[in-house]
Amino acid sequence: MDLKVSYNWLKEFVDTKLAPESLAKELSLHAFNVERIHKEGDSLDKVVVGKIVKSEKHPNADKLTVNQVEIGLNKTAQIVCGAPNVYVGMFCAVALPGAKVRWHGEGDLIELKEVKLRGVDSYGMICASAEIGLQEMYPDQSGVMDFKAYEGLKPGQPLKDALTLGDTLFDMEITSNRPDALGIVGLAREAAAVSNGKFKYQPATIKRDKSAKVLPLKIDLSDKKICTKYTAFVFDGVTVQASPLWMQKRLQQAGIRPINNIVDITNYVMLEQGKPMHAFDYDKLDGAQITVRKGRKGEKIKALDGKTYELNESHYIMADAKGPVEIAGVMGGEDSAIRPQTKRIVLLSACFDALLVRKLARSLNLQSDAQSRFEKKLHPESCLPSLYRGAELVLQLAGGHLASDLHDISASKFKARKITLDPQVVSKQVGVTIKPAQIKKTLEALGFGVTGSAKFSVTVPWWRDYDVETPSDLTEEVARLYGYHNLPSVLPSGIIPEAQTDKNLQWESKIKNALAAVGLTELYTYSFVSEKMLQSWGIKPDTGLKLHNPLNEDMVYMRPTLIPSMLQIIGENEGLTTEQSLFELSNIYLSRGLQQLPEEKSQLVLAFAGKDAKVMIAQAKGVMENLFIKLGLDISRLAWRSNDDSNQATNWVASKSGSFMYQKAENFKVSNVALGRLGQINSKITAQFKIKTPVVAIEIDAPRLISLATDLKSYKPLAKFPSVNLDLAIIIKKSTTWEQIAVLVRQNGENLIENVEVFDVYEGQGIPSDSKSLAFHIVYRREDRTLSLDEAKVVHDKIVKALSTKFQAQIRQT
Amino acid sequence: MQDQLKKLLADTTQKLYQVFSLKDLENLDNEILGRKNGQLTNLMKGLKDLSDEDKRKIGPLAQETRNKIEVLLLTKKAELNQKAEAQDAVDLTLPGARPPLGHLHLTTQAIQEIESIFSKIGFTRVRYPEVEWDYYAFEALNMPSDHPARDDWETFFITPPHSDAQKKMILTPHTSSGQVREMEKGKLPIRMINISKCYRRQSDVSHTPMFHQFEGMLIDEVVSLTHLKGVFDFFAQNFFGPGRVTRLRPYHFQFTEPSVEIDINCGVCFGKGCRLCKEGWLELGGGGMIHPSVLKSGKLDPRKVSGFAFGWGVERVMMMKSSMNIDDLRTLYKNDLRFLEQF
Repeated sequence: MDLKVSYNWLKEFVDTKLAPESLAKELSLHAFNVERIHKEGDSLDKVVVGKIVKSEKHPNADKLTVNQVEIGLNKTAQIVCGAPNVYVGMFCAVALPGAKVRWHGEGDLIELKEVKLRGVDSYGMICASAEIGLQEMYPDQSGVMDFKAYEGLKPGQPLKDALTLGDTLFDMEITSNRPDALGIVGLAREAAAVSNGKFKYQPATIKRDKSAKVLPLKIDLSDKKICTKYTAFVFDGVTVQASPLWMQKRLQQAGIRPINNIVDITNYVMLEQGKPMHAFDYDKLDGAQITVRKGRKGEKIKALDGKTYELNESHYIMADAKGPVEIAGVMGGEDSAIRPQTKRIVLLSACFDALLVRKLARSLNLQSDAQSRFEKKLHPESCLPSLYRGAELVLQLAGGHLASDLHDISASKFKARKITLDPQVVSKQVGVTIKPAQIKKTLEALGFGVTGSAKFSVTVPWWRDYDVETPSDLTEEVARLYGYHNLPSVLPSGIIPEAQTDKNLQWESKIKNALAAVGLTELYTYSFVSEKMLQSWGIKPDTGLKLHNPLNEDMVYMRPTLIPSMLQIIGENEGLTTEQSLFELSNIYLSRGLQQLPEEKSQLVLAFAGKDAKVMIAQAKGVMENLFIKLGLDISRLAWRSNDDSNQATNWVASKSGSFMYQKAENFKVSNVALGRLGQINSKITAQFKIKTPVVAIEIDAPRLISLATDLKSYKPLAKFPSVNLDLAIIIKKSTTWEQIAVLVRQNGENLIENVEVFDVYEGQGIPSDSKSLAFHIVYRREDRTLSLDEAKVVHDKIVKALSTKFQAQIRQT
Repeated sequence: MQDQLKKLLADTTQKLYQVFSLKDLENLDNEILGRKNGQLTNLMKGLKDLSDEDKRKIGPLAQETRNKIEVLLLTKKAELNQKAEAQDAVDLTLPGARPPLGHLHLTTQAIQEIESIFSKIGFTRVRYPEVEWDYYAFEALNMPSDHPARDDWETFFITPPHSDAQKKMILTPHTSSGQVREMEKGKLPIRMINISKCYRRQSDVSHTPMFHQFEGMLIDEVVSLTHLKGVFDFFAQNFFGPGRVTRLRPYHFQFTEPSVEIDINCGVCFGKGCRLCKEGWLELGGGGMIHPSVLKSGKLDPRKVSGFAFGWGVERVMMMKSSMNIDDLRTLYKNDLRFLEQF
């Protein structure tokens, strides 16, 4: 929880010589982080108190006034103002030329200059609180600031002095385990401990005049689960009025609006003690009784926020004889609230169960300062100190007298926890030797009781009862006050475990590097997809892993394939770039029912867009082959098979046949392991992603690919004798594949062929429409001696013959 | 034959003075080195008729002469070419013919760097389920089902949610869910770095519903806070480089005790305090000594072993390192190529 903490208020409870910045630093390093430091009135140079002595309409503008403002003894300035709330006699904040203001409370600070506004001279500006950085303390935005509540203001007086703005405020983050530090007293205890200062807080006490009449009050804790302790006093003869300015200012510093002295006291005590309180108008409590109980169906309460809440058995309330007077621990009711005419009050401090308050507030969708504190689990023992402090302030500021004995009802009796602590173990855990005496001193500074010598018996004070339960909790206290920043930095010296990095993780990184090295760009798309995206790829949503509370309808299913996400990105980028060569390597999620976690395995998808489909298919295959070579696969064992469902690698999308997804696609395997498929995505699918041009994609089952990967290197001796290289160009039917040709060439090569390599494929003009022209090199070599040209030619002719016999190939003369 | 070779070399040198074009040079090359009737070729053919002793003597000389002539011809060729090129001006201000440049995503770049830094001190990378049981993400980490701290994790649930809280399937909101899984492997000591996708129901300029964390965990017989600090500093110095300093300060996490947060001085103002930082510091992440209850969840005895753990955001440290000031973190996963291709 974030708090605004006044340095001056802290100083009331701790003797420290540390300046605000130094104290903030110590608090950050040893207790709670001070995220920002605000110097009050820092931006109030040349901002003074002004008194409006004359106010007239601007001759040239309807909404402006021309004011004569007294800004010192016999010194007036003419200032044009646009606020609706100026009047003669008003004390206001005047920024003189040279002052820095924020126009309308927005943007950067701007230095004010003497100007003409619609033809009228204006010497300075009458300010609203946001224009001079005071909006948090003075949130009223209805116009410029009006100081009618202040006494003794003098025109020309620096505003900083007039509002006593010399304080420093800390923005602090109080961790959720430390509700005891949600008040100034608890923070002062920390401040004293971290600065070696003296903690000088004294709990309040009050005396009751036994002769005063007792006003009866019946308190019934019918539900001890919600309310763990209930304490209260009744007062008679109080005067409800505005609280003193010093109190108002402290509330304003914390962003709380002052209301009247009684309500302000309850809020002031909450800020000081960290413990919410409440006050009822005694005369509005029907039957002079308060019962803490469950709500009843049909009951309603109009709360202090002005809204009416319908209650039922799942809610907890305080009620009088008639009905609800407070939503327990969250907010009081309007009917029993303190009013100017209130004379008799019930001041109460109760403690509510954190979890139940949390549920209550959630179910009513209602938040308050009290509820947010109760949710942090306040201790029942916090009731009495705050009640006494509140009572002391009521008697001081509202007069009257105590009209009851102490009401104190508890669900259970508090017994302080004792923990045995071995100082040696503390040193061992921290890693430096901390002397037992220092450990003792540290714990005592924080309010722990410490006895014993070899082993300590540590008594935990009530305010730390919930967060300090074990010796390691005490170690933390000692360590943080010693200062983590003071510890040496030591690399662990133990033995390094033998664990091997998962093969998948190792190779995934290499795959990514290899693909980026050949010009592909890596995507990271969200793991969740929309129902529409699943359907676009032919996946039935009911087979998917669905989120119960998705962020929006684009993110409903955990994806079983990366392709739809990839297509979406291609669609979004089309028009922004010309060519797209992309890949993603991420997990996909395959449901195995609700009794088992889904299978998570990585999928590799490569996609190409922006060029002719055939060109991209060749590019895709080339990139893939290069990747395989990088991974140590034997690409001579790359084999293709037309789409069929027996290919296990693509079973993750088996709900529809391949032809639905691809216009042309073939599955491939390497070394007899089915790895995935490559093809052009069906344009009916790409159209759904608003893609106008062809997309070629490769899906690869990454774990299978990695199962074939190796970094073992093999060496092939370099050839000793020259080769004979002969070229061949043929015209052949389109239906004959290169693989068929290459196999035939090798079969007839009499073991002299080292390599067969295509260098040109041509279809079109000059070639029959059912045929293609292929040109390729054949490399002939013997390993034992130089091969003569004539020998090679004999074999070459044989190959030519075989090609024409088997495939009716025509030889083109080159 | 010796003399013939010498003469041929001298003649060639002379004839080269008369060569003024590539065509002349080709003719000369053919005249001397031509396969069929080149003067040197013919001379070398005669080698086979010599006695063995002469072969040993003349053979190397013939080869040397051939080498010298080849060099002379090539040198002349280069000379002629240069003359031709001099007339052909090259405009080096034209763009180069660049091969396509690929791009690893920023997140991959950061993950690879993080992994490599921790591997230097013996941390092995692991990966655990992203779709996880509630038990590993919360319960085993000292965070029972009604614990308010669980509200801080805006968790996604898989539908239909199981009525038994521990059997709920969720998207893991942090890599800490790998802690007890790693302990359950039953092998000590442990030095793991778990890098994974995580998910929380938040999407705004500084949050993406999917993000990445890296979780370090070390468990051994004697582990203290000073070791945690050592490892934090090692990472910070290696990742952020010199000129950046860190500080540890107290914090609270349910699964560590003591708990700390580590700050790094702001890379923009270097500690003076500015709009981007908190009084000169930026929060890097949290960690602490593993809570005894968590060790017990992993079937380890807190009296015998101890350890520390930390889980930090990959995107967060990446942003803090580069000071790129990406104004909307969601840009990272929008996959606009104009963005991705900048890195």
